[in-house]
Amino acid sequence: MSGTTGKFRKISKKNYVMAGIISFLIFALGLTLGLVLEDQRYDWAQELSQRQEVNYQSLQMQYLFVDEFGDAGNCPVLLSTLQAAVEDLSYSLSRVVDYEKDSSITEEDYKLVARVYTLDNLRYWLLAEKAKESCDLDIVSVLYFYSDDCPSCPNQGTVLTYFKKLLGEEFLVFPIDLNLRDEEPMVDIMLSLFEVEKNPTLIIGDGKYEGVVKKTQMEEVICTDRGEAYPCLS
Amino acid sequence: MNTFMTILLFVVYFLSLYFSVFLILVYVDKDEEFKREKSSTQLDQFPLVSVLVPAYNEEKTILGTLDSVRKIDYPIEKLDVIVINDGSTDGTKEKIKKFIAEHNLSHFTLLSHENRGKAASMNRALEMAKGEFFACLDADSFVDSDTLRKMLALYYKENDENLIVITPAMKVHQPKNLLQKVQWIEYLIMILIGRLSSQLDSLYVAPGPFSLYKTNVIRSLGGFDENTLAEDQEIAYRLQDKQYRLKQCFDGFVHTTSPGKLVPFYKQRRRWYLGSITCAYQYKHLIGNKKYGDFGIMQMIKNVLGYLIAIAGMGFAGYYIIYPALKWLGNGFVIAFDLIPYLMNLDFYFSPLLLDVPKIFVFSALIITSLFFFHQAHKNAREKINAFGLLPIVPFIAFYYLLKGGILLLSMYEFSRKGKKIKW
Repeated sequence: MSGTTGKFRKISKKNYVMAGIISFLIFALGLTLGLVLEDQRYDWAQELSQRQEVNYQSLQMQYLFVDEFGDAGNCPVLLSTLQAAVEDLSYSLSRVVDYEKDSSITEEDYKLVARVYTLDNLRYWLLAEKAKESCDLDIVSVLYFYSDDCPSCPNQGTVLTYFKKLLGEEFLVFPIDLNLRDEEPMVDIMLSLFEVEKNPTLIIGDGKYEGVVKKTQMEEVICTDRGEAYPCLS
Repeated sequence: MNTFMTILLFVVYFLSLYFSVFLILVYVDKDEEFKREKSSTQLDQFPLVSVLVPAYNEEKTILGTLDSVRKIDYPIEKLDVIVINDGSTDGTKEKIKKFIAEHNLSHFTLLSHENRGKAASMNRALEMAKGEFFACLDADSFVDSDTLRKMLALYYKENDENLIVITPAMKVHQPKNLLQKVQWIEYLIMILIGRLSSQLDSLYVAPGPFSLYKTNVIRSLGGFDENTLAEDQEIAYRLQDKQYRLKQCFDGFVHTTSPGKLVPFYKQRRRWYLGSITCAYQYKHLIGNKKYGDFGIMQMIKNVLGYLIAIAGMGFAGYYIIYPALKWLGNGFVIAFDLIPYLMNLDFYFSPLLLDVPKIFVFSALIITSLFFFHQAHKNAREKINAFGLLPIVPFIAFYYLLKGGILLLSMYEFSRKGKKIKW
């Protein structure tokens, strides 16, 4: 009985090394492409916030004119600019924020872009609130306090998206991420202003709503905000 | 958690990619040889071959099995068929008796004893076997008539006294439902992987259906292990451990009945996986052992990593699929599943800048290597990709690994609790 030598045994060294090199190259190529896109994405985000900046300045100017000269004739323009700007914010920058949260390697990249997003939201909200008074606008503006680690926030987010889909530009949502309180002082200011203690919290008109506001409850809230009787949504 | 999962995902991607690329390189190396390789059915000598057919409650398939043995293209006087009725409680025994009498098969012997298990049955038959070689054929499997000739021709061509086992290429017999068709694809891929492993002398299983053994060596090693869950894996590991060789006969086909329902499927896989884990543990001194060539430093490591990758894969499925799905469901409740506004305002926003390119890139590389194997496996086994329609491919790619992974996970859990004490 032989079988102790194992002369037939061989080690495919060349293939092990080659497989390592090829796998490494595929990885390196994938990661490099990722870095290139990371750069482009950064430029893109810059461009987005620049556009937001101009939008905002234009809006601010429009508001000042309406306010100063009491010229309500310009209100429709103000409204449509505001709606377009908020839309743009939630469609472009919010996606960058989501993306950075999921895939960014450094926390800082994310925090920075998230701060820009939060500030943009806040000033639009402010403007929307003021413009509502001066122009008697028919919009529902929602200040939405949330955070990632709150389990029921995705539910609230879904309800808000639902009404966004249903009502379109008449329904403006301004999300504020509570996790940014350490980075962005404005978040803390807002929290104490509205005495927000729970997560999620919605501020709609004069009302404060803590915990998840579900679909039917939200319909009532919207009707109240519009000063109409429930049900006001067809 | 997110960062941890991402890193883990990339580690798993890298390992999977590495082993896939390695196998492709082996394939590319041997491609010319594979193309030229034609198995012969020409034999200059006809050694005596014993065929052992252990049967336990197989009344449905036993006649087909025996009939395939009867039709083996080999001189009758050189065949020694031993059918073992392992204490069947159904009509298996009567069917065997009737079959032998009906066809007047003087080279068939029926052995009956109380139920002892498959390994013990084979060991008892092995004591009586007269053949220089012996093959086992599970009573739910069927052998092609030219398979024995091909295997022996390969044996004599190799002309190596260390060569002890010729393994067959195993296909699923007439798959009917989806589960069987999915296994049909899986078996074809296993044939190709087996062919590559054979080139690396890294086979770690001698399948129950019609592996051909050198009788004297198996006898001298004490026969099959009666305490193991998977004697067909244990014997392969033991032979590798003793520096013996196993080779696959790439077109020596056998056809085996595969489970068509989930419970029998679970039982079969539990036996395989638990057996495989037990064997890897029992022969752990081979892991990374250079004395065993590619078998030690690649196959053994790959087998062990395979378990870990399966655990990780289940984790990914939970984290990336099941958990988000549950969240979706929760979100659905708060809007009372009123999806109409969503459907009215579908959002097709897309930017290539928002794609997770590294993950997608590496994942695509993995998919491409898988498709390569998928295609080659069909070519290798001489089957068409759409032999049973294209439908089984979807669950094969999307769900099957979850099913197998789940069973593997349960098996690992069982192993961790009971360790080596596991029995049938």
